Amino acid sequence: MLRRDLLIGARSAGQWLNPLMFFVIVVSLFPLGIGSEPQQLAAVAPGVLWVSALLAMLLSLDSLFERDKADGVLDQFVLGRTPLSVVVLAKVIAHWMLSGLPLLLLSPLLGLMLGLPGQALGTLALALLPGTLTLSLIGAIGAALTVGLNRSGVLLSLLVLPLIVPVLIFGAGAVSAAAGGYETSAALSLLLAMLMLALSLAPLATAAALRVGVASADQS
Amino acid sequence: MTPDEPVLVCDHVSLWRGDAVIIEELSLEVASGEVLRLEGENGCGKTTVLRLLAGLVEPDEGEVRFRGERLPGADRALADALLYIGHRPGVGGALHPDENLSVAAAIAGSHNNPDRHREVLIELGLGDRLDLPVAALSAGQRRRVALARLALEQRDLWLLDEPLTALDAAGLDWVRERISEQAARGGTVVFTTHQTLELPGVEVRTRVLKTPDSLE
Repeated sequence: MLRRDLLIGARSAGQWLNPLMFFVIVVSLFPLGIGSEPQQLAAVAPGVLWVSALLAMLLSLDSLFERDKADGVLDQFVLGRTPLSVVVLAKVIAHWMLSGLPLLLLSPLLGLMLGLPGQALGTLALALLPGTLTLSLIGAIGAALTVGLNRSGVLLSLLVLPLIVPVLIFGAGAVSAAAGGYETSAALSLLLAMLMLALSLAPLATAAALRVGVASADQS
Repeated sequence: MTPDEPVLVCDHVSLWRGDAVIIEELSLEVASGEVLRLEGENGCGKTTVLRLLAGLVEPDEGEVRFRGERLPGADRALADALLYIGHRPGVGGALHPDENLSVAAAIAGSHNNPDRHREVLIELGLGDRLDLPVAALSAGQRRRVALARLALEQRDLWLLDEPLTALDAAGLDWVRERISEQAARGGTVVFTTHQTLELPGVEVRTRVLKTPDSLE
């Protein structure tokens, strides 16, 4: 199942290139907009990187179940003997590997570009790991809830954004702390805790939402 | 199981969407070894009835029972027995035909046998299309990929939504053979179609669905 989605993703380059390009472009625009004083840039860098990363992830979320629904594969997910939450988890992990992971790998480079001090770059990538994964998990709930609707992008954002604000606060907090030379383990532990919570609950919630979506979906 | 014990029972089922009645007081029974064809004009709810029988949609009134157990609730038992091929065939566009079958097997929890997948696809005349993404195939070929599961998975109950659409004569013959085999095995088939289907040696019961008055 995981292989299936990775395979599909790899064959449609837009799916994983889009969020990445979005991330790079947004982050690159900030120095142009704010001005290039290194100190100012370094001060806003953690926030800019996190917000851009989250928005980039959000961009790719609404297609998570849409294609499967159009193909009728979603019905098979619901009917199959494999538990739906397991299928969901595989799909989410695939989604993360195609959107979150590239962002994560590229983020130190962009951090460097914004003048983030060296010791914060590692923390940035370290904090983005649970952060983006949590976002994929929570976003899947939103994607499942809106699966029967057309143009669900805006609604999806409205549903998901409040839920990911804590991730943003502690994620950016951790990076700021690292940049200032402070202890980061508290913020990182909180991010991990949120990931654990999302990991245990989100697949179940997503599965339940998908069942409702399939039942209420129009037949054609 | 005795041959006449009903496998699926639809008991006075009604379904609404908003104020509109989609299905009104529908009752039907299917026994094991029986082949039932659902017929009816466009928009009379054939697809919805199949989705009800598959447990994808819950009735607002009445109940659907699988081997005496009420749906939902008999979900596990149903999942073990059911092969459902919907209106949309359930094949992913970016994947090759045999990859699709492997995925279907994985989701369904069946044994995955890629060699056998290829065999059946070649039997279905898709031998030269094995390395193309399904999106590049014609509607009839896509339908064949989905229908290949009929030969791959041994399930007691088939629910097939318009399995004959877009198929050519050879495809029709293939499906006909599979349905006959299934009936001979004691399996049950419920399918919708507008075409009449003659099966040598197997009786096909036809049930005509009527459009609820409120929709006319």
